[in-house]
Amino acid sequence: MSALLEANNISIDFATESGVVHAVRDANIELFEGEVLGVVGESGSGKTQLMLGMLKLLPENAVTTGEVIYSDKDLLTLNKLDINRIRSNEIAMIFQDPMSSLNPYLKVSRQLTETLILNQKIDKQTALKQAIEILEKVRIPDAARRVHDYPYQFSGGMRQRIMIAMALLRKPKVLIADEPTTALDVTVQAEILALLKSLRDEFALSIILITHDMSIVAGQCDRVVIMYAGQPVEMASLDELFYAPKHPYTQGLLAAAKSQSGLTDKLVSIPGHPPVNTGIQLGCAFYPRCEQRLDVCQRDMPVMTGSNTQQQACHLYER
Amino acid sequence: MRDNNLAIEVDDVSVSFRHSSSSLMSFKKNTFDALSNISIAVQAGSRLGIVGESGSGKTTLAKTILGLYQPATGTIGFNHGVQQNKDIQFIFQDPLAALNPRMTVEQLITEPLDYLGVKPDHATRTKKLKTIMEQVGLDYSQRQRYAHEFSGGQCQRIGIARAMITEPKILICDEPVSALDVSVRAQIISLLKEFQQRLDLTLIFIAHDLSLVRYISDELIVLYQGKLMEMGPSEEIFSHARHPYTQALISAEPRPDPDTERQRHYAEYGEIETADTKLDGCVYAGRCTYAQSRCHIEAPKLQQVGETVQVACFFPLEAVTSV
Repeated sequence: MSALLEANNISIDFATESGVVHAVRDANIELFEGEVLGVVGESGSGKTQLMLGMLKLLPENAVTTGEVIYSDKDLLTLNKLDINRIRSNEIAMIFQDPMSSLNPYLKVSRQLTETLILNQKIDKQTALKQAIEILEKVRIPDAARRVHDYPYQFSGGMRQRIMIAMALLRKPKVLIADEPTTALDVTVQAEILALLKSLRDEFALSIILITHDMSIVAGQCDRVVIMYAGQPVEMASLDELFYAPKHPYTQGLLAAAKSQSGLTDKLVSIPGHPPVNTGIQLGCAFYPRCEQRLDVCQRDMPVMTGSNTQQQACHLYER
Repeated sequence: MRDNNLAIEVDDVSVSFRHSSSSLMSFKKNTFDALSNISIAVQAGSRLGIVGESGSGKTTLAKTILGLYQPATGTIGFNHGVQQNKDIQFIFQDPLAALNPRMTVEQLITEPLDYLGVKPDHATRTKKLKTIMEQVGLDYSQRQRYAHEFSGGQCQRIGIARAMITEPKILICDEPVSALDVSVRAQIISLLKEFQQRLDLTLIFIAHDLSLVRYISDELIVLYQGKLMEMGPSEEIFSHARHPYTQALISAEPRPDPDTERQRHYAEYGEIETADTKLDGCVYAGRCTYAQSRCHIEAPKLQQVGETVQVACFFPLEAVTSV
């Protein structure tokens, strides 16, 4: 099976005042049709930058190398017009904080119809009708009336529904959701996650779900990529990742998540703190925090090895 | 009641904020009750967890205890020689935002000493700084650095050092690990717990999720829209939530286990209605799956259930319902 979206050897560097920051180093990921791929990592792991880089959404001081293959085209080589077309019709993205992604000065109706009028060349009335329909799909009660409200008149969960509606307007094939529920309360989060699940079937979406929360991954994803210090360190099917994790970082992350969910008696953490992504990295980035480290880990960068369904970048498994 | 052993007594406290009406035609001032009729007693040396979603009033309660807000009605009393302006310290959710970016770690940590009138001489100051940095797990050699040079977890350590250098009797932590990475959260919780036990601090820990708070608190209160829903020992509440809201909070939380999640039936939890519509009934009735007609007419008062738990619900849940 060939991938719907495939990113090969992506590296992203930022030129900053204090030197070059390697936000993503040589990352490979692929998204298959109809699946939900979880991209998991802590702050600074490069998960968001990788997605932004793939869609050419990064600021000017970023340099993205590699290739992003989508329907036989390399997105990174497309000109502004063509990549815009992909972003509006094919690959949509939603962000963590719905309030800062919506324009506070414009009514929801305007924000939802804008793209339709621009792209489909339809009149205002038809566009408004479609906007109301999509709001009903994301289950905003009384959509026909509320479409004329401003974003501030909605609660956080409702705003995220509007963001999702906006992303789905043009019926994209791929939805990239960047921590879509992190800013929400747990009970609201549960509803948004349930909504995403049903929309995935209804719209035949393939989803990349970016999150730091292993609990959300457990309920939403089919496959998972774990990122650390700008690199994927483990890629596996959901069950293999949770029930037979291989990379020591994955193991630590799971242990921490389980303990924080009250599944263990003692609270667990990974010693040390995440690295800064500057300078040349020789060995494994997780080396200083790893409890199973070998001498070779400090010298050589591990490469991805493993089976069809589970791969990890760790010297413990290199034979 | 061993009243003399209480550190904080919150007695029937209500806090309201004024806001102008949303209609452009009238500039009528309305008040909004962020907290209504809260009474809690905090034992000296105990660890109290405050849980609730956004808008529940948990931070308002903490800030009222701290003296940043004045209660509209009711009183807050302190025992054990606690002075409100001296002996209470606060730790914030976003450690980087809480630290002045232009100050070095040394300035950040020792600054509270000046404000509290301690004004130690140079040698004492250095000694205090060195000790506290060691205790929170920061490297003394990094004292001339700025907050942005540290990771989130380390910034929170600076925040803790800044609070603890004043030797407070009460420490209020407002979601101190919510902004931190999962892998370092436990480090910060353990550090707080260590301080609490060694110095016999009275600790108030605010969180929006129950599962984390149970590791640090021995008593728990659950707030919803400014009202007390349930109160009692943490373990008791966690293992047997009696208020439907508490139960929703626990069950809505996803678990890091695919098999459990596959069996999850996504319940409809409903969203918070606007808080300024004053209802006669229970504030949670609109979202409650167990609500009966009485719940919409009359507001339940806190009632004792079992030996240790109090719950504001006419129909407290009997047995444990699994996730």
